Amino acid sequence: MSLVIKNLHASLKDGHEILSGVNLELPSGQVHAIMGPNGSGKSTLSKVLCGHPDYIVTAGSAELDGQDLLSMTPDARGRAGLFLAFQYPVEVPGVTNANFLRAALKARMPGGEELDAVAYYKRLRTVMKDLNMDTKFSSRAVNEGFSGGEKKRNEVLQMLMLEPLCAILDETDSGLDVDALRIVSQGVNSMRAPFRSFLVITHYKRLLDYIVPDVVHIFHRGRIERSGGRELVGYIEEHGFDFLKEEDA
Amino acid sequence: MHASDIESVSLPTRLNEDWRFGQPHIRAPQLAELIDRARQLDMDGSALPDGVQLEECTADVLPTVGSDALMQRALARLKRGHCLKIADGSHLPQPIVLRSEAHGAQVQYLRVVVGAGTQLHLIEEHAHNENSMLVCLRHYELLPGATLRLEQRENGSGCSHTLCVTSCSCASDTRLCLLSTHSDFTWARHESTLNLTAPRAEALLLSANRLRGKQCLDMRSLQLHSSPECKSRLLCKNVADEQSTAIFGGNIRVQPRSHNTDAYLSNLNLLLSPHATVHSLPMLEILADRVRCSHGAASAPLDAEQLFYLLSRGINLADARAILSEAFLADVRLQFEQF
Amino acid sequence: MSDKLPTVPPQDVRGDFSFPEQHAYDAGYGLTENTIDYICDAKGEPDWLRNFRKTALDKFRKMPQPLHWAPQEIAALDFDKIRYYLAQGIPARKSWDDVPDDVKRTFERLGVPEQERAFLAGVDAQYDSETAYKNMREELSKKGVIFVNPTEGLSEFESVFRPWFGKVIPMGDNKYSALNNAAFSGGSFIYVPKGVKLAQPLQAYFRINSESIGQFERTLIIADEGAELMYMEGCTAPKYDSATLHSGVVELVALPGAKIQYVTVQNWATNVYNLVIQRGLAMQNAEIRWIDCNIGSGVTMKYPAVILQGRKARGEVVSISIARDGQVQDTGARMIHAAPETTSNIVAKSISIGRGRASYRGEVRVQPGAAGCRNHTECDALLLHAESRTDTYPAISVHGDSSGVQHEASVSQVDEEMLFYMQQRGLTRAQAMSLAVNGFINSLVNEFPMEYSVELRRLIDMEMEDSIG
Repeated sequence: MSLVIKNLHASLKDGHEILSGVNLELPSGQVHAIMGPNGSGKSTLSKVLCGHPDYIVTAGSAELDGQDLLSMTPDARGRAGLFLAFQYPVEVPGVTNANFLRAALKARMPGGEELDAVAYYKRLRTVMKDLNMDTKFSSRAVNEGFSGGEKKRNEVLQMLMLEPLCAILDETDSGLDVDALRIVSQGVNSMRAPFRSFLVITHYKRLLDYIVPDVVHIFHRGRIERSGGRELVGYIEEHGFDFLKEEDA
Repeated sequence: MHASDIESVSLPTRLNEDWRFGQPHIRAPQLAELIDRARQLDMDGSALPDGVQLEECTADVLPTVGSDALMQRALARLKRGHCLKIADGSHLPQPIVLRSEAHGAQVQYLRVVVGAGTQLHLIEEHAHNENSMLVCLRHYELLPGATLRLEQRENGSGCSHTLCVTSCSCASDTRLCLLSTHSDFTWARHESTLNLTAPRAEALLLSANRLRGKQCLDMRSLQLHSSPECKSRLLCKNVADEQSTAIFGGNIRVQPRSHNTDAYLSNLNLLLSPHATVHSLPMLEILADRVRCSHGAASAPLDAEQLFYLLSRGINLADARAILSEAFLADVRLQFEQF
Repeated sequence: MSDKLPTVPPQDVRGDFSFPEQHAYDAGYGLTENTIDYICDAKGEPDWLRNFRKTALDKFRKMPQPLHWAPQEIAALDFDKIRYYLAQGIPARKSWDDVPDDVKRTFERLGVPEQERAFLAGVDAQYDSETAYKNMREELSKKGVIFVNPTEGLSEFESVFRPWFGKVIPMGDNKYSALNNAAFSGGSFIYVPKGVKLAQPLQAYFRINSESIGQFERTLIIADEGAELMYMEGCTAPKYDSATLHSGVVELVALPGAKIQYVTVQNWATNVYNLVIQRGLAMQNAEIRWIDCNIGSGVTMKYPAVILQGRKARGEVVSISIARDGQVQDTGARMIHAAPETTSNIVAKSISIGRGRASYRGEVRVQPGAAGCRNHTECDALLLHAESRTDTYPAISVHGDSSGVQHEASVSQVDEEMLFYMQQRGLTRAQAMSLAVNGFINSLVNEFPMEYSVELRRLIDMEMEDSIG
């Protein structure tokens, strides 16, 4: 699915503006990366796209395949095919991973239809195996007591199971060691398809060595300051984000 | 107040939940009798700094935690109370110290008004003489933006009794830290009511007490959140040795619509003797959602591993116990100093 | 949301239906000496029991309702507007085929005979004041297990039950125990002989059918040395406009080394006052666990207790309460450590929905002479709406310097970040809320026997749908 963001402004409830006119066109089938310094508003963008209640959109639009995202509830956006791999995945005590995913899958099915439990468990075990996850994680409460790396892997598991059409990965690489990074990236790459798009938010080049982006955007002061090909990644790795400050001056 | 009015407010009985474990059937009649012939305890306001006045005032009714009848009786004995007023915007670098000494049966009423934006460190110290009984009624009013660090030191002398009623009323953006200590009483009861009446009021209530012999300390508190966006913390620590009894009853009450309340209450007791007793009643009454409220209570002996560690360093048992129980109470004072 | 599918056919878990009354015995409204004579005559009770009941009535009349601490809603309970004995005048049947048709249909609708076939060792099905059906697997009778109603227990097995009858909960313990002692009818008297371990649970099902009735079940369970059993009780009633009263007394005696688990799933209609006293006596090395779930009733006051009477006895209370609009769930636990090295555990979770009020009231006491005791108590409350209310009133008394007691309580609401996370995955807000609430009590629901936990989850899901869906 394509994601088109035009002049998007969003503020906190106290009026403090975080997004100041984001413009982005992510065509179906492509992977775009967003890089930028801490506090530039990258994570806010992902939350606003998913309808987080802490933010108020003050101007602009965001469309998923021409469908207005901003007028939809967070769960309707999820069912429409938008997926966010959270930077800080939330713990849901007492609800097992298996039950949670099953509820999420069931929510995507037409009313009255039942999920085939046997097929579901079979698929869950296969995907967990691909991600090198111990199957005992399926009966543990969602993210509860998981290490940072386990939580990130769990986000990718959910993505693979829910098969979104537009996935946002918010610093999914942080907290992962090299092996985990490779496994997670393989998972993402296996999902790349002409009908699917990815927005990958990261600080580091190393993730983009595995998940190769079509376009790279530099985020700064609540908007996209610069866009380019993958050569931008190497430039930033070498020079950092200081050039943005020079531009400020 | 007329005598007939006093009679109409009944003394605490066993049916009074706020006196549970407090022996109301024995204590309350004794106290009532002593209060009825008590004298007023005066205060000396001669050496106060500029901007601070101690003047006479009417003694008004205070909220209590179960001793309404006794407070009413004490008010009836008092002609006038004292009021300490600190002007708005004062900054007093040195603490103000109020000392008084109780002989026989006495009652005292003090009202403190901390002006808007004022910062004050107040130390109140009562020396209670042998065979004295003091009823001490105190009301603190923090005007918007005021900060009060308050120490209440009640120093008994073996055979003394006291009933303290403390009421704190905090306006918006105020900060209050109260440390109360009680030592050497045959019997002491302390009731404190904290009312957070406007947003962003913050209070830390601390108490640390050491009991021995047949002493009994009965502490009751109410943290009343009547406004949203307020924060209160209470920590009461008691060390009970020999045949002493420590009672703590505390309640956090969050009134309807007082959302975003953050309240905590903790009562920790260290039992040092096979004949010591502690009673702990930590309560919550929550009538609003979007709140963070919790409480904890723990009563335990000295940690055997810690004790062994000290002994292995050549410290004798008595000293080791003293060191560890001192350490148990020390962080309360530390919290006061860090406020 | 369990991974396993229920093994029992679907039941009418809410139980809001009734049949016309067909009572041969009706003691009418109010409780007097005459009512007691009527009950004693109907049951053919001996004189000592008649006098016992009348002494209890006298105590009941003299005691006030405990309004100085109890929820004020009980003030509205008018004991003169209650019917104290309603029975069809037929002894309890051992076969469902012999049970009167309407009564049988009631219990079939509630799934009781199916459950019995599936996983129970024995069933007592009480309809209004008397037991309609009572049966136990034959091999258990051969082992000497006794499973009878109180009348039989105190006549045919007097030497077994009378020594313990009213000993764990004395007649004058409180107003409601006095009331039960005066008017009790129905319930179970159980004796499990030395070393006998019941592999399957015994179950009692309490059904109120008639309006304005007072149901005063009386249960006494004695587990002899080393014996083990699990007892479960379920409760339902149709919703009437007038108040009905369920005031049971349950006494457990766990002799040295015995284990008793007592499970309650209470789902009365909201016009029911549920005032129940449950107390167990645990002797040396014995263990008593109360697993308690309160979903229904208008006002519930119930604080299962264990008196740890013998060295190394263990006690546990696991409690779930759900208070919806207009409901008061005043529940909790009591642990009395009367012997050395006794241990106890309390875990209580409550959910307040709408204007519902859930309170935890607890007592933990370490008595003089009880050295080396341990208690851990944890109470968590979840508030779902702005007008919801929760209270916590524990009282902890510790004597001596060798016991450790810890109490923790917290109040929270469903975390907004958690809801957003689940909504992002496509769940509606109501589904996310329901999942979060289920998660909150999940660890405790698992304490219930499998067949009950399935029902419990279904019941909770239904409540969630009604209140937030």
